[in-house]
Amino acid sequence: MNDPADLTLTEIAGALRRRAFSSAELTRWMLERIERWQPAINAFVRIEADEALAAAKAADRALARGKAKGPLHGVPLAHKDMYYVKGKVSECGSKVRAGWVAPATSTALARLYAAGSFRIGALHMSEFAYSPTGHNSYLGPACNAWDPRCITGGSSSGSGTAVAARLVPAALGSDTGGSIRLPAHFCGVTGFKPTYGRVSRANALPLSFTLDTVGPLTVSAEDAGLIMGIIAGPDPLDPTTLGAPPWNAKRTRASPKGLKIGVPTRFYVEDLEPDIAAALDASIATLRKLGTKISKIELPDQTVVSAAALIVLAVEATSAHAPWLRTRAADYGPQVRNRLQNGLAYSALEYLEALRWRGPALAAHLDAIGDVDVVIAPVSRSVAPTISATDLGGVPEAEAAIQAITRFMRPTNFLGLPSLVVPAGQSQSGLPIGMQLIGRPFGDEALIALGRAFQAATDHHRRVPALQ
Amino acid sequence: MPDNISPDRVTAVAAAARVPLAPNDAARIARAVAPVAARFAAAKVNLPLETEPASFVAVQRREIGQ
Repeated sequence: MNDPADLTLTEIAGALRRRAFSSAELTRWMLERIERWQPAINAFVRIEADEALAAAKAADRALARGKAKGPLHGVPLAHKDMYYVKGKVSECGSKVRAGWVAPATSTALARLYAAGSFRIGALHMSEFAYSPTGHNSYLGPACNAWDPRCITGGSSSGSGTAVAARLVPAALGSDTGGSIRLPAHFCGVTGFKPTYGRVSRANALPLSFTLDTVGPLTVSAEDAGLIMGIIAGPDPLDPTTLGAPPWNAKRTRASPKGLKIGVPTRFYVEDLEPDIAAALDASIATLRKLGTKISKIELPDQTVVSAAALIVLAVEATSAHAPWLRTRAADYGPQVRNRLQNGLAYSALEYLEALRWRGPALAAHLDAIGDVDVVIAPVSRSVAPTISATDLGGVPEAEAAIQAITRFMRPTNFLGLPSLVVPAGQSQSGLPIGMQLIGRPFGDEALIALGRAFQAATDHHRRVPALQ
Repeated sequence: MPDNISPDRVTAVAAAARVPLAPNDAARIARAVAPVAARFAAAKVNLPLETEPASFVAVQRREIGQ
């Protein structure tokens, strides 16, 4: 068997179809790899070896009968522990939900299962998806596969580090304020936050109904397109998806020639560490070589957009958690409890002004970028900091530190835009660097196409960390 | 719209929401969120009377088919 750690999800699915290896062989290989890596990176919250092996053998038997279920037939996957599976525990990273059994299966997971994938376990996450670092006082921190002393980013902490270590070839995350893109950047994997309304959030843990999005962390942009082709589309259980266009796989293979790329002149290019600035410049040079047209753009004041996002997020998260804040506040970790309490401070007028401003803010953004197709920007001003340096718990300074980490994230959530993070280099210390390609509303497929072209010209996404 | 959030305001809102706070929480919360509220207030966003949250969907969906 080829080493599956060298393969993308698309290549693994193809190898299974060709019977280059069986699903049972692949699953055993993954379980052994998980066993070796788990003590170092704490990526999984539950490993379901027996059930996964049984599902793999069933997939092999079905394939032998010519009954492949779909494009992910026989692929073991694991996802952030906030995607509900009927009858299975889903603790959402919190003592508050210890032992909680989900009453229904999330639409996104149901679609991945219908495409032939099955579950090998569940992945670590920040408590209730409300922290950008990967710290979790209930579960302990998830650790970065490139350097276990460093954070994974959050809140899709397990998804980022598990895909980086190739414990699974893809995993769902969720992104309300950077929770897919930050782990993709810090862990060196591809991450895709779709346009708001493109993927159903039904029966997944909510954090902020205005900002929540569901998307994958994968090895390649092609893989992200494969997952999106399966999970995107209308769902009566999530009205925000109704009326969104169907996924267009053909557009994910379009040439990038002539695509217009905007480079912000402010905000996203300020106060960058030298390694990040160098990776941004190198990425722009690669995009230019691919035949895209690069131009500078003046975006509206992103600090205001960011503030509006923080107000909406804080109030909606606090509203969702108010019953438990009244009765079980002590069961939250200190940092998340503090952040949830922060939402009490805003008035209804402040919240609604921010929410009503979302449409005008998007219109202003589109006016500013004109006919630009994609905006390129860093994900963070630095590579992954250490766990100890960011282990702030509930101290008053924690909120400012969190806002600094998520600085380049929130405008995209507030405007509901799609954003693809592609590995784009590494620091002098060897830590990964990602770049975000931010698209127009429903321009998701163009981002996948651009990401595929970028990854055909670079090999950052093929780098795999060694177990230390 | 107020551009400053005081501990007294936080205490009052928490009481109205029936969420208990520890003695120092109100001051900590006010310190954490006041810069955000002040930044948004300083922008003096002026919304037409007719603007509602769903106007976002209208702007977003203009892009479909383009």
